[in-house]
Amino acid sequence: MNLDELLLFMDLRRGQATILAAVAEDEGEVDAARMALAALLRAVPMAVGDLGLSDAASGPRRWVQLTGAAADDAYVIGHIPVSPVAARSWAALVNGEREVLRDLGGPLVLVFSRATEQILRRQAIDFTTWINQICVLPRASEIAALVRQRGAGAVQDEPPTLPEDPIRFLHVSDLHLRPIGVKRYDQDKVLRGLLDFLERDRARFPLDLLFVTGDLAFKGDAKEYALVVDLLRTLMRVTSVPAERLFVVPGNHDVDREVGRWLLRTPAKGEDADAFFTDGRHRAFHAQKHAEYTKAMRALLGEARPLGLEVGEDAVELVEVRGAKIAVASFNSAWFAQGEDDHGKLWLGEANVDEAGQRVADLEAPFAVALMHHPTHDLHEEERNNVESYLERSFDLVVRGHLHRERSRSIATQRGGYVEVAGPAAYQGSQWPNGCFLGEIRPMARSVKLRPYAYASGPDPWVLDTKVFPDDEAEGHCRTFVVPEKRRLKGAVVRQRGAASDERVRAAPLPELRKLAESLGVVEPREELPKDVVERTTKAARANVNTAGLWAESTKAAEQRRFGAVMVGLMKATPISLHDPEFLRKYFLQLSHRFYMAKSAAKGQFEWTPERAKAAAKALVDIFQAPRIKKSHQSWRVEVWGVDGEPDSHRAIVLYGDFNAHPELERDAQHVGLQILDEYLGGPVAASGGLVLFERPGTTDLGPRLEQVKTPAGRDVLLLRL
Amino acid sequence: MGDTRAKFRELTRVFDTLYRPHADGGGGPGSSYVPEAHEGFRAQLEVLLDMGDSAKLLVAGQPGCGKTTLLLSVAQKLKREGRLVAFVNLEEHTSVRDLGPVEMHLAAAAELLLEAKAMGVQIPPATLATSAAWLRPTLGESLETEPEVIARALRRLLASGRESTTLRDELRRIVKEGASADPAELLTTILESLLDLRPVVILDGLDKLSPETARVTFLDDKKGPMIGAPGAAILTVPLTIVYEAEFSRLAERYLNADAAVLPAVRLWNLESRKLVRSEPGMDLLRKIVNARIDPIDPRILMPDAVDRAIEGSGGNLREMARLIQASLVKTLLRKGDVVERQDIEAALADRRETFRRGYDARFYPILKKVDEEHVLDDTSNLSKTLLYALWVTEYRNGNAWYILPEPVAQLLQHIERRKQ
Repeated sequence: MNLDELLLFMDLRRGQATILAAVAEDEGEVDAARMALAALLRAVPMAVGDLGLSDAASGPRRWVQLTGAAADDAYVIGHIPVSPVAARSWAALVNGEREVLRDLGGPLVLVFSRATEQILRRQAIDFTTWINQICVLPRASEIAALVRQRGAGAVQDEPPTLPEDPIRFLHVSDLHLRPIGVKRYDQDKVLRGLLDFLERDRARFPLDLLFVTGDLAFKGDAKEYALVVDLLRTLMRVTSVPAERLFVVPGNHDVDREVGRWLLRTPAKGEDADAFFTDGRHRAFHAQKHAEYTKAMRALLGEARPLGLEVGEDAVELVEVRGAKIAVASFNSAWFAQGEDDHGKLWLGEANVDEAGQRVADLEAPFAVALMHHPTHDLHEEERNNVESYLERSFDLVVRGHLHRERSRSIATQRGGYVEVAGPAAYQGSQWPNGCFLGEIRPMARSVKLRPYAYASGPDPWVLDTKVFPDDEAEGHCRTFVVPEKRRLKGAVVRQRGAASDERVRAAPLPELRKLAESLGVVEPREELPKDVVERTTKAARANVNTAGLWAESTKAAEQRRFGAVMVGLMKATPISLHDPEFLRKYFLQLSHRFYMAKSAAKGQFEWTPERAKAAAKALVDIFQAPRIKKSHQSWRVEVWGVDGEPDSHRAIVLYGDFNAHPELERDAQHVGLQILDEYLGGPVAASGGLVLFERPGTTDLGPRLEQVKTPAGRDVLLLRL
Repeated sequence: MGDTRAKFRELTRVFDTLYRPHADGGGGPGSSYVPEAHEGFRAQLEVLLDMGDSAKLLVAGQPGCGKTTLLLSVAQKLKREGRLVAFVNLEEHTSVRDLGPVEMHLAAAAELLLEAKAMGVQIPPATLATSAAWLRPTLGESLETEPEVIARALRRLLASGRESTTLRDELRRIVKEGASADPAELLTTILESLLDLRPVVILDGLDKLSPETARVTFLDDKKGPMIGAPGAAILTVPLTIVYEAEFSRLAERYLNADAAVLPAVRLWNLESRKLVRSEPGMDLLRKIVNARIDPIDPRILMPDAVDRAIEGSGGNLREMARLIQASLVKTLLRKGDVVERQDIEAALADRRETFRRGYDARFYPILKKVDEEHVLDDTSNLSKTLLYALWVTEYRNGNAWYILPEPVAQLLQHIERRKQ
């Protein structure tokens, strides 16, 4: 069945239960294809309910609920499994629930990838025989082109489709504010002029987002930030943009160099940089350099804002502008900025950018912006390439400053790519050009239009800068950059593949390692292998894991081995209230059920390691509608569940035995565990308790067992053996 | 044109793979049900039920071959004879992915109580008291000894178990630990008090069990569903267990288990390894198609188009419906108002492409053997997959033999040409 037949078929079946499948070439296409298909159906015209992506726990039963709740003519839903094994468990679900399809509220197109189709054919045979017709989709961009073609001409009675309303932003950078006495004579004139200009321009160009990329102050002291706060406050007032839509990152001038003098200049190797970006304690020292920046910006914009001071997923914020979701990541490139010789000494953190990118995918934002002060060119050579790879894969727009020169460009690579807006300095003294950008983001059309402004002189000194895009006279000296298409993979997939790739590279024999290292550009052919070649190759492989096909095959096996932990995370938890007197028993039942499921799904490849147990316990957080307190006690992990202020009877304590470090303790684990429980239950900590013992693989094969036992002091507690 | 479109809209409905003729026909199999479709088989079932009031019958068959439709028609006939028939739609009341005897028996008990009430039969108070007592430990409340109240309570219990694994485990634990008696005993009590009405329990939907659960339920567990229960019963079973080596054991436990595989409609006669078109088979399928078309417009499908669709489907009803449905869209797109042979050909070509995408090189020797010798002699998972995915059609008339649906046969020829 081709696309036209699919449209006609949906039209014929509107409002009636039927199921069709639409197959996209690969998983990265599924989401875009689903949206484009919905748009195409709307151009028929018909009312289309876009049900988004179906998660691993949703099958026909859920689809019936969703279609029953809406009243559209037709429905579209997609599915992207996180791993092949997860796809199989989803296949079992849809196969089991297929009879429910008869209650669908209308015709439903299920969009999945070719790989998923293969799995369904083998694992969900009945379900497949129930699918009416299968349509092989062209690429999402081709469908989108059809939408544009038909959306305009085909519909007469309905209002013409309006062009996409762009999201408008201002990018200013490098303000270098200094107090009276040391400031140059024209600072106020230039910046006052900018604010006046923005206020006058507000009606014609109403701004949605403000990006300020560093060097707000001159030497990072409190007096300067008083001026910064004042300026930003005025900026928000004249543009009417609220504080949560103003994004700020620090630059090298936002560093107090007096503090920095006594700190590590720059990590010597990637390993140290990794530690710096993965553990908040290590960043605490360098964070002192930004003490004044932090204090002023948090007071102005909010305590919970990242402002470049957070890393990884915490660096990402989601804003919704007129229904369009935009993710904004604020990166600090100035952690190691100290002097005039910063080039090659700065680190952005590979893990930092990678995790932020995963967060963007998890938030399902179609457009992502990254803010940083320095160009990637200034980063330490060891991470530069990999950081660029991560940016290309996840971000659409990178906004930066620092060089005081305008050098905007669009970068397209095999991983995707982004538009880089390199802002001029907003104020750097009259001998430099002072400028800023106004921009328009069109997430659907995937474009960014830039409008350069510069400070000249006269009564209205801020004017359109015709020198920036001299060739674009026809477009009013503005330029539209096309943002490359990219496939963002959700965190679960990336972590999975990344870990599999790590395992693979670390286990590679030397000749193969050499081949990998060469293909990734880590070493030159015939060059002697450096000592840290394994580390560097592992990182480069991770940064390229989605694009390089060289070792994709063999990472698959590793990926499957790691499935157990993910499986545990995938299963939907049934919430248990702490007020339920049986809650501990129910919790243990769910825990053992998950354990059993994960084990039987992995068919003998599954080992219940303490790491997996931890992952399982983590996954169970959503079961309790209450926070938990974690502690450790010798080789035990102690968790207390409960709400502050609630009586003790609503609190429970769970003890997990983790004997990796002290295997000798395992022998009388039960006895010791019960004694510890007694200590806690005797005091004001909790009223009920339970003990979880993880048995070593191979000791027994009895599966999970739940018993009620007595502690030495005679209290009844639950004992779960896994 | 509007009129044509309305007709096509209606046609796509009756040829949808989700369409159930009986959904249009109240409690029975529906007006477009063609009794001849499984005539011989139906007669056999009815005779067995007539002879033995405690017969236990199993029914299996490829997806879409008409199991539910057949059972609904049997149920209707039995009801007319005045027998008490509990038609249990397990899919409606339980989680068929994870279904154990506990849930099956409870669902049957609920259906029996409601059916008896609907027939105006007095259920002995002792039976109702036993049923209410059974529910007390699970629900923690005492119930009125009204059949309807008890049946609704049972359904509520099942519905909660359908949504939550924890509750399901909990229910099974209660039964296992003996806090409540085995629901099989409860069902026995109810059935025994109604034996005068020659009760028949029909469990539809058991064929949706996953292969693993099916093994455990029917082969590993000595006490399979309904085995010890008084009265007659018909159970649909998954085709997967029919091909297990131990299936013969089941035949001993249940009556007639081996003969219970519902055949596809026989479209060809196998005469000395040569295929000859079977006119009765063609006639039967024409009747099935016409029963659906006639109320809409008897002339909207050209007769040769119908024949082409029948041949192309190999005799599987669902496959035939799919072909006709796809051709309807093709007709409309070329702005035709009557479905012609060319439209069916185009739909068949699409189907071939679909098969090509699903093809796995390991299928080759099996498909080749089926094509040449009409046997599927191994019981490997690969063979089962082919049979179940409708890549191979099966006929059972005493001796089973197999044939490839036309698009698969064409694909095979194509592969063979390339190999040479």
